[in-house]
Amino acid sequence: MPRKVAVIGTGQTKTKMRRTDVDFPGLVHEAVSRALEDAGITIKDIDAVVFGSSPEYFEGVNNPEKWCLDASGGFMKPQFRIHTGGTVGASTGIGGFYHVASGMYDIVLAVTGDKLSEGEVQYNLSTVYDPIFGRDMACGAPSAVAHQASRYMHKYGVTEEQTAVAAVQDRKHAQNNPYAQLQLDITVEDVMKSPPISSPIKLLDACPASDGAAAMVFAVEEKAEKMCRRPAWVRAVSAIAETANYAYRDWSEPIALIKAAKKCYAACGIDNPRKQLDVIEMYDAFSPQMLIWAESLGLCERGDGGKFIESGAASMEGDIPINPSGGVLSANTIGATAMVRQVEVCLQVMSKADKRQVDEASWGLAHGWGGGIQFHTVMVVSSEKP
Amino acid sequence: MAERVAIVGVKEHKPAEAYRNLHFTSLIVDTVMPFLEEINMPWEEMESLVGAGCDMLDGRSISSVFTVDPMGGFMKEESKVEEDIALAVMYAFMRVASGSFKNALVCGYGKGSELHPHFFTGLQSEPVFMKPLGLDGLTTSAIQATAYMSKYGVSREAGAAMAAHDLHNALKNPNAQRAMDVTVDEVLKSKELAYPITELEYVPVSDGCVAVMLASEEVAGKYTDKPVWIEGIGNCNDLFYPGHRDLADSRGVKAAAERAYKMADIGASDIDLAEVYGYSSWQELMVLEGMGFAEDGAAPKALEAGKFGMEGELPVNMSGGALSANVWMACGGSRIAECFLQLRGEAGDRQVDGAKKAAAHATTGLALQSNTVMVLGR
Repeated sequence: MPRKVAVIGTGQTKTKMRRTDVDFPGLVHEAVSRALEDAGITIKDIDAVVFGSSPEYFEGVNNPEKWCLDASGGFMKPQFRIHTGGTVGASTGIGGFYHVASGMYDIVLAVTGDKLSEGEVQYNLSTVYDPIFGRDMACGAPSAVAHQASRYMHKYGVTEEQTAVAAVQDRKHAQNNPYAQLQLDITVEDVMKSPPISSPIKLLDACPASDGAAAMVFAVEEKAEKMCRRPAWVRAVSAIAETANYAYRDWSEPIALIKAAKKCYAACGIDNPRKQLDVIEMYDAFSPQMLIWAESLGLCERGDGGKFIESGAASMEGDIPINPSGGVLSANTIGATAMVRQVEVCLQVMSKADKRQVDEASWGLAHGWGGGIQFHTVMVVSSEKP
Repeated sequence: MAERVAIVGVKEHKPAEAYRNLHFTSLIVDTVMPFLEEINMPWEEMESLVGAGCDMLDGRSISSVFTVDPMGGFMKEESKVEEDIALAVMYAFMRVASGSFKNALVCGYGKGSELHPHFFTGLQSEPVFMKPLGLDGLTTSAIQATAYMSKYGVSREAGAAMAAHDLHNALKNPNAQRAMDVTVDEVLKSKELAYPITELEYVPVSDGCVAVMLASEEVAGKYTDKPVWIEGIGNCNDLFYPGHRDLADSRGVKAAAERAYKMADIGASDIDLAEVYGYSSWQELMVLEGMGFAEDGAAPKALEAGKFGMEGELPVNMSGGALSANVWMACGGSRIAECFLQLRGEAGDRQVDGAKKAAAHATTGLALQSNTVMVLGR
C-alpha cells in the first residue's frame, strides 16, 4: 500500500495576461515562496522538487526546469520535469504524491507554471497537429474543441445558450478569487453576442491566456500531522490517456476521464459522487467542456449536462459547486492550470478558501485535461484521513 | 520503500546517425512491440507508462499526444518526464515502489538527426545573457574541460585517452554507432570542435529508442528468472548558470552518487562495473571522480593505470558510452541497459566476469548541471 500523503501548503500567483515585472523563473519563485510560507517551512525542509510546464516553445527555452532551478528551490536537490501538455499541472501534483508515497522522500515540493505572454500560444499549439496530415487544418486548441462541442451538442440537443451558462457562472465565481484574471460580470446574452472564434465557440466561451505559477507541498503522514492543523489528504489519483486518433473516438464521451473517475471513486468508496463530493474543480478551457466533464464525472446523467448547469446545481449555492475559483475560463496559464485545480480543492477542504469557501467542504475532486483531447487526470482530496 | 522494484527487461533500438525513413513513432513501435513479446508480457498486463521525449527535439508541441499509443499507453496510467530516460526510470521506480502499480514501461526516444546538432542543448541556455554567447552542450563542455585541465594540471591527452577507451570498447558492442581503434594522437588530430574538444571526444548525433520494464518483486519472476534490482537512485541538480559554479568540481555528481550509495547501503568500492554519460570524454572523467572511483583530478591517471579497462578493477563504459552513440532522451537508458546485460551475463564479447553491482550514470543540462546515479544489483 502507498504511504499516506497530504498536502500541507499551497501557493499561487495572481494570473495576468502579461507580467512585465518578472521573468519565467521569477513567476516560479513567487509561487514556491508562497507555498513554503503557507506550509510554514523553508526550502531546507524540502527533500525533492518536481517541476512541470507545458511545451517549451511557449517560453522558447528548452528544458526550462534547468533555467528555473535556482527559482524552484531545487539547488542540490533531486528535481525533474514532467510535461504532459494541458494536464501537466495535475501530472506534476500527482508526481509529488508518488514521490512521497514511494518512501523515497518525506516532504516534496511540486511547482508548475508558464509565461504564455512570451510567445504565440495558439500558433505553438497548432504544432501539436501532424506536420503532414494535420497542420493544414490546424488552428490551435479552439478548433479541436469546437469539433468536440459540436458533436456533444448535436448528440444530446444541448444548446449554445446552455453552454453559455457555464461561461457566465465561472466568471461570476472568479469575482471571489483574487488570483483570477477574468472577473467578469456577464450574462448569457453577452456570451451569445460575443464574436465567434471557431463555431460554436465564441470569445466569451473561451479561456484567456495567462502568465502564472502554482506550487504545492506534499508530506508523509507523520510529518503532515505534525506540521499542519488541517491537511488535505490525497485519497486517490489517476492519469489516463486515450488515443490521439480523432476518427476512432466520440469526443462527447471521454473514456479516459470516465475510467480515471471510476478508479478514484472505487479507491475512495464513492458510489454517488454528486452526494459524496462537496466541491469540484475542473479543466474547462471552453464552456461546453464543463457540461461534458460533469457528465463523465457522474454528476448528472449522460446528455443532461445542459439541464444540470441551467439548474444552478454547480453554482456556489448549488448542491455540487463547480469551480469556486472561476475555473479555467477565468485564467489559463496551461502549465499551472491543472495544478491550480488541485490547489483550489485543497484550499476548500483545508477551509482556507476565503470568500470562495464552500460551506463544510471536506471532499473535493480536481480534474485535469490535455493532449489531443485525450489526457485526463483526477485527484480526490479530503480533510478526512484515509 | 513499500516494494522492491526490479528491471525485468531492456530493449535498445540500434542507434544510427539518421533513420531518414523512420518517424519517431515508428522507432518507438519497432522497440516496444518486440520488447513486450520478448519478456512475455501481454499488452493487457502492462499497467502503467512513463515516457521520455522532448517537444523541442520532435518539432511538436506536446509530442506525447502521438507517442502514448506507440508506447502502448492507450487507456493506461500514464505520465511523461521531459528529461533523459534515467529520470523517467526514477519516476517509474517511485510509482511501482509506492505499491500503486505492479509494472511500469519506461520508454525514451530521440531523433537528433532532425535538429541542428547544437540546438537541443543550445536552446537550454537563458535568452538574454547566455544565448548571445553561444553557450551549448559543446561550448560549456569545452570551458569545463579547460577549467579541469587548469585546476588539476591535467594534459590534453587525458580526454583523448578516455575517448580512445570508449571507442575501443564500442567495437564489441553490436549496438554502437561509432566504434574504432584509435590512438590518443589520432583522437587529438581529429577535427577540433571547441578547444580542447575534438570530434572524437564529443558525442555524435544519433537516432534511437530505449525501453525498460520495471516490475514489483511480487510479479518480477513472471517475466524473467534473472531480475536486476534497483537498489539505489540518487539525483542532484546544481546551479543553472555555468558562471555560478566551479566547473572543474563535480559536486552535483558526488551528491547524486552519495544518495544512490546510501539508499543501496554500499560504498563506491562495492561497485563492480560502471556506465557513465558525459557529453564529452572530459565530462566522463569528472563523473568517474564524482562517483568516487578516483580522487579529484586523478581519473586520467587511474585510466592510464588500467583501472577502468575490461580486466581492470572497475570496468567503465564497456558499451562504448555516449561517445559511441548519443540518443538524446534515451542515452541514460543505454547506460542502464548495459549494466542490466552485464549483471545477467548477457553482454556477449564484452562480458565482464562476475559483476554483482553496477552503477549507471546519466546527465542532463549544461556542464553537468543535473546528474542521476542508479545502483543496480543481481
